[in-house]
Amino acid sequence: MLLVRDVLDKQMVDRQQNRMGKVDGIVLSLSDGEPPKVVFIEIGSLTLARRLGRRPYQWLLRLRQLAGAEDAARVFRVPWVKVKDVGLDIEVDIDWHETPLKQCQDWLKRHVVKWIPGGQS
Amino acid sequence: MKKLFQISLGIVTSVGGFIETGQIATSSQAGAAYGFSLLWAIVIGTVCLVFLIEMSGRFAIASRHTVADGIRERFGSNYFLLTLLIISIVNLLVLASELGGVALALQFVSGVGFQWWALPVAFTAWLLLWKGTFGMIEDGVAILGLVALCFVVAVFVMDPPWLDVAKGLIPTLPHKEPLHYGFIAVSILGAVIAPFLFLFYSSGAIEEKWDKSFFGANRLIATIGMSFGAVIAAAILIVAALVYPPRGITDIEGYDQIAPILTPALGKWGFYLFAGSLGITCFGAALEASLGQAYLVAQGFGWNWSEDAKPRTDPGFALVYTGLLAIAVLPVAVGVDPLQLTIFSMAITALALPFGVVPFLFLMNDRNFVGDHRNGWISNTAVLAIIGLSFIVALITLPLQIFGE
Repeated sequence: MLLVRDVLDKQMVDRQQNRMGKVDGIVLSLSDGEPPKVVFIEIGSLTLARRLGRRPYQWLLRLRQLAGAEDAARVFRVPWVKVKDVGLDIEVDIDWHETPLKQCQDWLKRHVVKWIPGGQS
Repeated sequence: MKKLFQISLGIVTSVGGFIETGQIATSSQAGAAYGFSLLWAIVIGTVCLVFLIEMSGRFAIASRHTVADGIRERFGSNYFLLTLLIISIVNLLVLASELGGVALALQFVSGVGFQWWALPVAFTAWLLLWKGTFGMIEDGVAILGLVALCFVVAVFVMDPPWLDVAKGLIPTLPHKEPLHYGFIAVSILGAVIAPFLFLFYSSGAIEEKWDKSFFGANRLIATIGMSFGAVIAAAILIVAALVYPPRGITDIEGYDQIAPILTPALGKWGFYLFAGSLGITCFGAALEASLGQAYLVAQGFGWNWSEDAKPRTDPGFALVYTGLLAIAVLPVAVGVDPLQLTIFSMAITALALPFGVVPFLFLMNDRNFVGDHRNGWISNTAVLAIIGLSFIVALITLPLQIFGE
């Protein structure tokens, strides 16, 4: 398995095949005398922005602070041990409802779609 | 039997996606200014499109992922964000042009200025997307879009000099105004190879759950469907070549000049048939472009998506097309001329072509995605040729845009 070819940017799904976002980043741990180890998968717009460059990352962080997000620099991480299958999709064993994507979608449902006629039906 | 039905429906749908304001505008301009001599541009564009559409369908069937998924997963987030930016601009302009086309059709029928129709049209499109299902939208557009066949009827009524028509299929250099000729040729290519078509098509293959038994059907739909669309585009060009030059019109400056295009052949009804064709095909293309954008965003960021799901199930997906429609309606509502908007959009589409087509070369040869259904040498030669053509087109569009008009 090659991390960049087979894991990074691949579709993440849960056990029920709900789409949970793409793999936006990979976190390795380095310790002396040992090969690097994959510890987390990251998902979220901040990770994406950081891959684009330092400036976009800082702008997005500022934007999140302005929007009043508590702990604006926090990124959602999935422990590597939760990864169950690496195929064309990455299957992980976590609750879909915990992911920032699902929470964001739920927020949109409660605060935006609700106000549009027909959005609830 | 069921598959035969799906294939015929797919073919008819392709016509709906193919003919829209871009084809109508560029083909009429070409016919008026250069007679039959730009027919080759429609042929070349269609051959490219057939290959690209077949590949986006094959990619979706073999990998259960769409082309937009593939761009993100194979090329990474930065390339995806760049593609997203460029294709969003193209989609926005194309959508605005299509809304303008529908609004103009309503103006021709009602006499009320097109800018007053912009909001009702965009609202109706949005309502259909918000409430409707993929099948309903696709089939409705497909069947109503057949009204555009009236252009083919008009060709036979007018009985053109067929030998001259055939000569137009061979690329030739113009005998006057080469810059304008080049600009129209490039706009025709931009109108034929619109990126929302393959975003829509590869997502459609997944929405309709095409399995591995659909490879043949996919090939048939791509080939026959797109050729069928091209016949109508060619018919528009031929009718324009027969109608305008004898009346001393060589430069089409507004849609009001295109509106009576069918009256010499079909009489008073021709006017209403033209308005109907313009309105329905543009409306269909507006729905497809809006959905294409929602598919692109949702797939690139890995959200759940489906036009069949309720907006409250996938709010992000539904809000993308809502937002795009809300922005695209603005230029039409403030009265930007729909023909100018269309011509500009087609040139921008042509300029953006390389970004849309280069990924096909890599995606269609990647075993991780398509397994044994990789491109053979014919498809790969075609992709390389299309990429070459797209770069030439993009490189000459820029100076033409500035000096050609």
